Amino acid sequence: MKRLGWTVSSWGLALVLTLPVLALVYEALLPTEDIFHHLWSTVLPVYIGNTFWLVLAVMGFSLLCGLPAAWLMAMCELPGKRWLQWALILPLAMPSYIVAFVYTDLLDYSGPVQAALRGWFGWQSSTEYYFPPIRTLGGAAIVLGLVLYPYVYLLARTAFLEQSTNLIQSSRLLGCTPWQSFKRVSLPLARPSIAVGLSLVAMETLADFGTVHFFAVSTLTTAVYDTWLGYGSLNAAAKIAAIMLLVVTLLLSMERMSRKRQQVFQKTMEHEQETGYRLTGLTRLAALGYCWGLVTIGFLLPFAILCYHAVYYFDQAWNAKFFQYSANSLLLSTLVALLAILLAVMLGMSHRLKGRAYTALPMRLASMGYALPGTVLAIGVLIPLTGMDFAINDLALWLGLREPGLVLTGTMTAIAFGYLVRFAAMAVGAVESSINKVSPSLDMVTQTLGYGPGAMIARVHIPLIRKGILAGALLVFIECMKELPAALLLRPFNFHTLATYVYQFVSDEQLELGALPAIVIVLVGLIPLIFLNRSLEQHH
Amino acid sequence: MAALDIKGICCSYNGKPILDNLSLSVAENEIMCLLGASGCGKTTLLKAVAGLLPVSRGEICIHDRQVNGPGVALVPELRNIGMIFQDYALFPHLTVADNVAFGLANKEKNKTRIRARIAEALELVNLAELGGRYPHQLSGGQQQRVAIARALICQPRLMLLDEPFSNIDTQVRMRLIGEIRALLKGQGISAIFVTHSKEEAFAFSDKLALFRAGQIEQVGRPQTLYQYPDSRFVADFLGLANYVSGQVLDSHSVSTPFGRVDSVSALGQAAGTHGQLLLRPRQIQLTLAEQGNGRVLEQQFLGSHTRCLVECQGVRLEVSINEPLPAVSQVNVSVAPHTLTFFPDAEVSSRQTEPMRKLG
Repeated sequence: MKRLGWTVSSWGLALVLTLPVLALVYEALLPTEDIFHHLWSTVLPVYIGNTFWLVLAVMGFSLLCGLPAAWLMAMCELPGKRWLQWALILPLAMPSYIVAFVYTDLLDYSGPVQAALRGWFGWQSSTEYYFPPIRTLGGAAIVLGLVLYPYVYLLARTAFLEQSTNLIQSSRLLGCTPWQSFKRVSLPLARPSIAVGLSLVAMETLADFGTVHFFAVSTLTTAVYDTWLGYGSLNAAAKIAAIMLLVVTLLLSMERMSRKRQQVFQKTMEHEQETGYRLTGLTRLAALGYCWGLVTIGFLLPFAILCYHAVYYFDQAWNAKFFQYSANSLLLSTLVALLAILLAVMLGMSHRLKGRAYTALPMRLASMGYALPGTVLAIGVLIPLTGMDFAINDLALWLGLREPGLVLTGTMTAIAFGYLVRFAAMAVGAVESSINKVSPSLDMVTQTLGYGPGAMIARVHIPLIRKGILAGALLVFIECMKELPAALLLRPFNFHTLATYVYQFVSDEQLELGALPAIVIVLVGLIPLIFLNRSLEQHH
Repeated sequence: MAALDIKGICCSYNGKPILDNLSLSVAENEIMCLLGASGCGKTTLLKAVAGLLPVSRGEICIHDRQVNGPGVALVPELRNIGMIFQDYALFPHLTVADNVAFGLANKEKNKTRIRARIAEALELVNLAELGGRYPHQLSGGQQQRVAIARALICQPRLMLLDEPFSNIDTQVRMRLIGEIRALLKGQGISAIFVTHSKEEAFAFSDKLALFRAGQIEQVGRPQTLYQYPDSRFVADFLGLANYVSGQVLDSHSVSTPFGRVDSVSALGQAAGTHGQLLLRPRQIQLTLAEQGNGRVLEQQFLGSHTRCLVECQGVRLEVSINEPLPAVSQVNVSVAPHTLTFFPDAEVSSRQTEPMRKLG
């Protein structure tokens, strides 16, 4: 049993990462405290209803935005398509709360749009005209849809592109007009992919905290947050979080099922770019207007406004706090990225050396955290860590030492652990996929040349998967830079990351002053999109 | 009335001309094969006929109805053409029966009649039992038959087949070719069929059009093209060929390094013309003779026949014989009596633009 060390440590690490989920389930099964009963009989049903309608509305709106764009980009010839098909994913880099703030600022009663309308028509007060209120569930749905539609767009576009041209041509020869061919062949074939995209949208919506909190739309996410920070009840927060966990599981299984069907439907046959419908005149104008409109509303306009504020308020924003919090974010994200990649290499290698189906299980366990909404995860992290903090202090007291205080939840430990649990999946995925590309015969030949497992990993595997390691670390780093809800709940007192710093400005309705850090977050978020685009272009 | 009449069409893809002033005619209930190396424009022609690719110049008429021409470009769905794709292009989200019924949606609303026609079409291709399955549950040959049933149900009068047999196992390929040929003939359908395999072309077609770089090199019955090719390109494409340089003696004979060779019918070349005599491996006969004029250099036993490389008066010849000869044998080389094909030298030099195997 030479490799027992590998096995024990990979299982150990994986179990540590599943601790938050286990703790959540455990806590949720404990007897219910009064606060939860109280919430359950008063506001919780409303929150559940809000969450349900919000998820549904965001799914609908992102379908409305993403599907036509995907079809146009996959099937039609349009001028500037090379740029447009990339630009359409840009909104993904925009934190939704920033978009929410920008449009509230623009469209509120005191904003420039309504002011202009009042000036134009000579209205004096809001009673004289109707303007759709933005700080509502509907407004939140539109804002979230605007930044989440790229999921639907990307998956649907790939699906359309991977459909064999022959299938479309076949349907035409069997008497279908282009529209009938879309309805009877393209759309049904893309349906599993669209479902995957929609379930991702649903999960992101469920996890969203910034937008709904800013709009004061109470959902399960804000309920978890308020229950913990307002009532201080971990038990009640855990129970609400457990409800969300159920929904996530449901969405995940929907995603998995769709992916399976996707494999049957998308056998990646040749897609030659010859069916490209040539749009002319008004249709072309409408198509271009539609796509560029999405890009403008979802990214260009908010980004331009941020840039304007950043320049205008530069002197106020360029201060010690900005540097301090940037350094915090940088340090924290780098630390977590390194830990995550170490863990991923560890798990990946351990699986590689054993090569059995069950040895992949630690990787799956370690990846579970990614599906958890940030708030849910934070509660899951807090349960075991506060327990341990108490235990440590009790132990110190018993040993007659001075109480060390909250060494876990009061320091960066909690937030780093939370991030690690949430984003380890990306590192594990990156390492796993690149190690799977290394042919097993290389392992055999290395062993026949007289190398032990350690030397083989160091001299063969690691050099070959260097790119995967880098990509995985980068992805984790970026996600850590952007993460908001978990940071809000897990950060130590007086500790800020760039995201929480920006969010503070948003909730104080002073984003003008926080535009500079906001731009940093957006720019960091753009990096993975460039990667994504490159891999897509290589594909087609 | 021709089933298909193509007059001087030009097609280009990404600014590169693929078809260049090409004309072709297919008669009623005739199976025409487009044969050529990949990338020579066969599939482009097929797609142009189907209306799936724009035609920049020229005319296409299907049963005397102009579908492409100056200012005319009929959309594919109105051409009433059946097409079988290389990968069969079955809709993976529909059952076999729904796939077959796909084209009826715009034509037939009566459910009972639709069911009857599906059953009839599946019966025709011997798949009556499999209507409930999905395409991925079928073998390649079955998938192809579904594709054929799907096309037949719309009662097309012209069928286009793009490399239909390339994904079929070699063991069943020839049987399937026979079945489908009988089916098309029985239904009175004209067909154009694209392939790069000469065996498939010979077995499936009534007429053969050999493609070369966007143009048709020669059209005719398969045997004619094989036996009396117009050019060395056609000769080489359709099978192994030996070329022996020689000079025309009179209307019926040619002098070669290994003697005088007679033709069964007139050569049509002036006496004294220098050129190359085409000899297929089967047209050369070997007889064992210790004092023979040829020497066997190499033999390969291939089962149904034996490939034999012979040197005779400084000329190397590929010969196909039934049984292997004893090792290191001296043989007499003679030419089986047939109508000779002789390429005068001037023509060879103008035609020969691709490097060709030199045996003579």
